Amino acid sequence: MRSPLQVLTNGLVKENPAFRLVLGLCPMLAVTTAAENGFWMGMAVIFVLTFSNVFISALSGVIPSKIRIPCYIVVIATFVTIVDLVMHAYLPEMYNILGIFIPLIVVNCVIMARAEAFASKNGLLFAAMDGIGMGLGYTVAIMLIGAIRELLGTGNILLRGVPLFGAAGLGFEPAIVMILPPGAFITLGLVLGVLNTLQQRRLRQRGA
Amino acid sequence: MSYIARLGLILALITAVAAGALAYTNQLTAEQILLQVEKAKQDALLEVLPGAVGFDSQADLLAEAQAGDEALRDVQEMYVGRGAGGPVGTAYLVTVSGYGGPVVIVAGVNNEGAITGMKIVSASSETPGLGSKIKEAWFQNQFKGKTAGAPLQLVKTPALGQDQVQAVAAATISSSAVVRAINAATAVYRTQIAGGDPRLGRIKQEALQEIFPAADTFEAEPERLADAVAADPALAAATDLWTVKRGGEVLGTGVAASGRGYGGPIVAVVGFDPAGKIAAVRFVDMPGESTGVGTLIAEASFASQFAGRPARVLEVVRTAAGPDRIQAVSGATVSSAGAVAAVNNAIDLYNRLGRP
Repeated sequence: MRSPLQVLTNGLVKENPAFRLVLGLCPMLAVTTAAENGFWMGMAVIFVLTFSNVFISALSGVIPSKIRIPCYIVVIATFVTIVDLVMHAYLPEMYNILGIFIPLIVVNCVIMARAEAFASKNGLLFAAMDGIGMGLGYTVAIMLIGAIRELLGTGNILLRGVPLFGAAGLGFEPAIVMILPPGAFITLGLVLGVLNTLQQRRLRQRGA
Repeated sequence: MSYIARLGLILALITAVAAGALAYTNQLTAEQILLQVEKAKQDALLEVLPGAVGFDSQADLLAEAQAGDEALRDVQEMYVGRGAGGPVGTAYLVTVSGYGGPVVIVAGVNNEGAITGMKIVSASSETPGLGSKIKEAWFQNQFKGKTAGAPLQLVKTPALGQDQVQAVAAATISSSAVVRAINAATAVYRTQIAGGDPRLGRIKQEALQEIFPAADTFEAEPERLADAVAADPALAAATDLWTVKRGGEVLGTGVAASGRGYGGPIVAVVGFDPAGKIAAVRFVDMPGESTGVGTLIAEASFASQFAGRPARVLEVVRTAAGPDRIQAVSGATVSSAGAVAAVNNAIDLYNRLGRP
């Protein structure tokens, strides 16, 4: 039997939704022009994922399997709309940047996948842990991609408007392509490649 | 049947609970969202028009400008900035389409006809790293101090002239969208305010001097006027109020007001003597009246009819005359009615303030 902590860390590393399950790539590619965008997108996903997991787990006895998909979507859409309204009210700048990708969390496959594959088959605690873990894993992944793209594409990383490497930046000519859409594919491809290589090396060492 | 009904019932229940939760959240956040949207706009307005403490929407002036020029439809809102000592200028909110979607800017123009600042409120659809660079300070600051008296020109080399702005490299479409927005704003300024303010201000003063040849001071009283208009918005057609003096002695009151003529506003300057009678009337601006027909209202044969009338609402007629009747210029009934309306608006304000 797994412990709740194992469920939590599972989403962070072993089954990282973006890097291992390769789910939820649409916002992953679209909003990662800056590390901070990734952070707030990740926060929104953690919130929606945790609460929809908890509710779907709690309702698993009530929801007939024939209509489970519409029920999941209603639950998920409710939390997404709550995030959308709260963000619009209290984080207007981020709301402007993330724009359409907040409402689109409804169709983010990470959330649907965890509802279907995990939350509906597990208890409340495990479902919550899975939501937090998967959400954190997604946040780390999306921030990593955002940070790489922002650094290479603009020469600096802005956190709450403050440049991380001083006003002058790192002093290299930024490659604008990195913050354009192709940069998202290039970065994601390279990061996945590096992670896969590391994983294979580890497996080989274990085998040897 | 009962199975399907059960499915429907469960789904309906879940949906109803969700709807309830959302209604509650919406109720909690609706006010804050409105506040944020309004605050973002106010902040931007304050930033582009320094010295203003409040902004009064000028939907009518804007609609008038747009009726005359379709190209000005991009300008969505127009404000007069209220400062501590009267209006400090005008501000505009403009939406144009950029490279990837709408670009929203606000711009301010002061009373001297210079752009006091501009701010890009939203350009979220412009390409990050290219078009989005229009948000950078160096680009936006270029507009500060430029004249609102003529359209600006976008150049790809460093800007030389007073009317030139340098484009962001590799973002010509986004840059030109911004220039287009600014030009729309200044076009509204040119048709509605520049014709109206500094130049017309002088003409009004000269007219007042003609009406009261003996006077040496004309004390403008924007606060008293603003208070009266605030108390009764129907008085908004009155644009200026002066107390006319020689030495310390009050010679009378001057009011400038406009009325709707044949093709646009007609501006009248009306002088009242201390007895409450009209000393004289001058029609100082009538950009929309037909030359040689409507513009005849400025001639003495029409304008001198007002002198000596009591400050009561006047009526325009084609023939005859009485104490409250003004004979129209033949062939220019609409212009005459507009001219009399302008005078009546001035009389309304004068009566409302109580005679000094």
